[in-house]
This record gives sequence, structure tokens and C-alpha cells, in this order.
Amino acid sequence: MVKLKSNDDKEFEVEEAAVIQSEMIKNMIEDGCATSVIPLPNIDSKTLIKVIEYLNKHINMGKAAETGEEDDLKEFDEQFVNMGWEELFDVIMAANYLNIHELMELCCQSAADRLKNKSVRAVREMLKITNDLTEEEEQEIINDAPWAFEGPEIDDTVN
Amino acid sequence: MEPEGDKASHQHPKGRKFTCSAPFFSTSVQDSSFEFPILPADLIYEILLKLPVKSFLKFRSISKSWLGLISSLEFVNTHLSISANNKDFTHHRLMLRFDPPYYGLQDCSFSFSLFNDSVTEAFDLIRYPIKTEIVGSVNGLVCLTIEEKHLLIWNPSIRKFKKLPKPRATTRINSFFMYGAMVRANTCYMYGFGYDEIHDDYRVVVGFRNSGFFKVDMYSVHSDSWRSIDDFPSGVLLMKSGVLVNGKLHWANTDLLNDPSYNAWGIICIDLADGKWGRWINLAMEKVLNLIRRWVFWEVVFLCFANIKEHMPMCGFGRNMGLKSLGQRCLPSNFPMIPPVRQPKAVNGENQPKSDDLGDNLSPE
Repeated sequence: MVKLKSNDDKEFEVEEAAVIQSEMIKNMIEDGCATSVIPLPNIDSKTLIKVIEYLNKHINMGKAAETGEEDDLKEFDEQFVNMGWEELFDVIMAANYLNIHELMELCCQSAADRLKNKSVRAVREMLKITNDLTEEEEQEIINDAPWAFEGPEIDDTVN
Repeated sequence: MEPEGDKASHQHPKGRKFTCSAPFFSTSVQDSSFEFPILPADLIYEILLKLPVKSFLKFRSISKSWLGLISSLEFVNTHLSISANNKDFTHHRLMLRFDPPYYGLQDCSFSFSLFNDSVTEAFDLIRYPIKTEIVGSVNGLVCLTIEEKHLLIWNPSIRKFKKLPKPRATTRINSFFMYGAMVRANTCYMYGFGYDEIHDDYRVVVGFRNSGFFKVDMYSVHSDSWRSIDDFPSGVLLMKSGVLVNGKLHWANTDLLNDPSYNAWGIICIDLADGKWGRWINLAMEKVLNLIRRWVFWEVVFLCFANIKEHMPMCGFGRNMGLKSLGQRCLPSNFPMIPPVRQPKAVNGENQPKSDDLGDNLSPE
């Protein structure tokens, strides 16, 4: 078992087989730096719980393919990313920090799927981005590909 | 406020490579009005890479930093490579070509056509009342000719054309006398389109027949100009458009008129990196047939592993598919797969094609 400590001082025990899906921790273990508790100063306990849930579910990914549990895993992944923006961003940051490739892919794809049909205005509001383009610059970009700004799929809602 | 370094890079968003270390958002992360953590630039970058082309064209107008990021060469190349290597072919498009009266091109989802007997949704790309032909396709770009007079390189995913200047080999004469008959001058007898990985350049090759000469010109997108390369060696081409394998365009060729033996069967190729001809004669017939088979196959369901588009990593063109309307069967469900064409190998003075040069593993079976 490997012990992980979140930035709000909570400790979690995770099976080594699960936790080595994190390249970062795998390297630490190989280098013999994981003898006691591994502190994770960038990750809070709420996010770490999510990440560990993912790691435990994906622990036997190779086996899943053999035993036909792939659909099960797919369903889990779909449910897993069903979370708010704030939470999703926290998990992306944690996955990036811990270097868990599959989790990173899953969450970034989910973020992209949520953004892809959004209007420019909606994305700015969702991500709190200030528009620093001048009106002319913005118009120039629109004129370059006006069709990209049109279509029944464009969604102006913020959520 | 934008950090200084970031601002500077916005001055020339097109030519510059984006550096992921530059903060993407304003630095006022601690602002309590922010409801969630602001993602650093490199993570936003990861998310943008998963968007379809239409979405990121739109998101260029979000802010200066998004514009700079999306316009960077690094972003474009990485997006292409991710789309091309997607194992589910999510971003691959299949292109369908129609015969007269309209020379139309439509595209549809490649993955859908792979797993279904018929295509239920296809979209008009272009529709011309005049003759258009596909010269070739690579990396999501398609090269077209319109009545063999105009050449275009087209990026369907961003809907932009580039019209090529006229090749040098065309002359002002309209016709000439050959084999005892009047022949139209400037007849295009060969062409091809490919990517030269060594120079990161796209090339178009066109051969014209003019009063006994077989002139060949090669176009470079980088220099936007044509240059003449050595004349077509000799023989008769068994196909018009070249097949791109490992950075070379290949044509099946026979010299039966001069050499009435099986030795006459061969393959000629042009190395897109240096414009040099290569030639293999006395080939096993099977090798030549392999190339032809592949070409015929491409013509029928012209499959290119260019990732366009959404970058159309594979775009195909059905010439004689008889697809007249949506919903008609367009691809057999056992549609064969061709592995993507890979990086050209540096070749020194070899005079025999390697088996992988000719794609021995490719066959429409």
C-alpha cells in the first residue's frame, strides 16, 4: 500500500498496483522515494478521492479487455466525468500533476465536448475570459470563416 | 492585465510558436470573483487539441491569447497528428465524387461508413458543372484540377482554396502533329500530389505533352512556384495520378513498344524531396499489378490517409460508386483498410524498390 496526503492533511491508502498508473508516483516508488507518506501539495482531499476512485476502477484495465468488462469501464468513465466545471478542472490539474495519461485524456475530452458547440460569448463567460481583441480584430476573425460562427448547434447557454 | 511576455507574442500570432509556459489567462487568479480554478495554458492547450476544426476557428475570437494559441504552427501540426492517429477515426472524413452532369464532391463520416452498409448523411462540398478531377490528397489537403486548366489545393476543413500558378511546361501552341495525327497541346498525361517531409513542403507534379516532348513540372507550396524537372523517362503510363508512398509518387509504366518482353513492365517514381526520377524495370509483374491495383482501388474509393478533417485523415473519393443520393449504399461493410503512408526513408542509389515502397501488403481483397 502507498500512502498519499492531500493539501488539507488527509491521508489515503492506495494499492500500489492502482497508484502506479500515475507516472509521477511510479517514478517515486522506483527511485525509492515513496517509503513513507507522499505529500501532494497541489491536490485537495475532495479531488484526490475522485482520482483514487478512478485509479481503483482502472486498476485492471488490461484484464477488463480480456474478460469483456470494457463496456463496464466505459460506463464508469461516462459517469465519472459527469461533474461540474470546477471539479473537472481540479481533476484535470491533478491528473496533469500526477501524470495519469488516461485520466487526462478522458477529462480533457469531456471539457472539449462541453465547449465545442458553445458560442464565443458563452465560453468567455464560462471561463471568465476578458475579451482583449478590438472590434475590428474580432470582425476580421469572423469574416475569415463566417460559417464557423453559424449553425443550429451553436449553444449560447452558460453551464 | 496580460503579462508582458504574453503580450509580445501576440504581435505576430501567426509566425510564432506558442510557448506553453506563458500564462494563458490574466494573472489575477486570486481574484475572489473567480468561481473555479483557472487552468494553466498548457492544459487549455490540451483541451483545444480535442476540438473539431469548426470549433477552434470560432474560438480564435475569444481573446488574443486564444487567437495566438490556435494560430500557432505547433497547434495546427499537433491537431493534425492527433486527428490522423485517432483509432476510432472520429475525425476522418470520406469524400464521395460524382460523375456528370455535376462534378460534385460530398463528404461523410468515415467511421460511420466503415461500420454501416450505407451512408445516411453526406454534405455537399463543391458542385461544378465542369469537369473536376482529384489529383491526390495528403494530410487533409486535396489537390484538384478543373478541366485540367486550373490546379487548386484545397483544405475542406477550413474551406479554403489556393489557386496554383500555371505550370511552366504549358505552351502557347494549341495543337501539334504526332503519330500522323493532330494532337491537342498541353495535354496533361500525368499528375500527382504529395508531401515532402524532408522539406516540410507540399508538391504537385504535372506532366504535359507538347510536340513530342514530355515535360514535367513540380510545384512547391513553400516557394509558390513551378520548376521543371527531367523529362518523363520513356514508355507508357498505365495510370494518370501518382500513388504517394514514402515521399515518392509512383506510376506503373510499360515500355512494350520498344521492348516487347515482360522486362518492359516497371514502375517509375519521382522523389518529392529532390525531384529526381527513379525507375525500376524488369519487375515481377505482381509488383506492378500491386501498384495498379492500389491505384484503381483509390480511384474507385479513393482513399488517402491524409488526415483532414476534420483534418480528413483519410479522405476517399468514389468515382464510380453510383451514389446518386443520400442513403444509397456507398461502401461495402468489409471495406478494406490501407495503412497510412509513413515518413519517407532516405534512399541512396537503390535501384530496386523495397517491398514496403510498393505496398505489398495492400490489396483490395
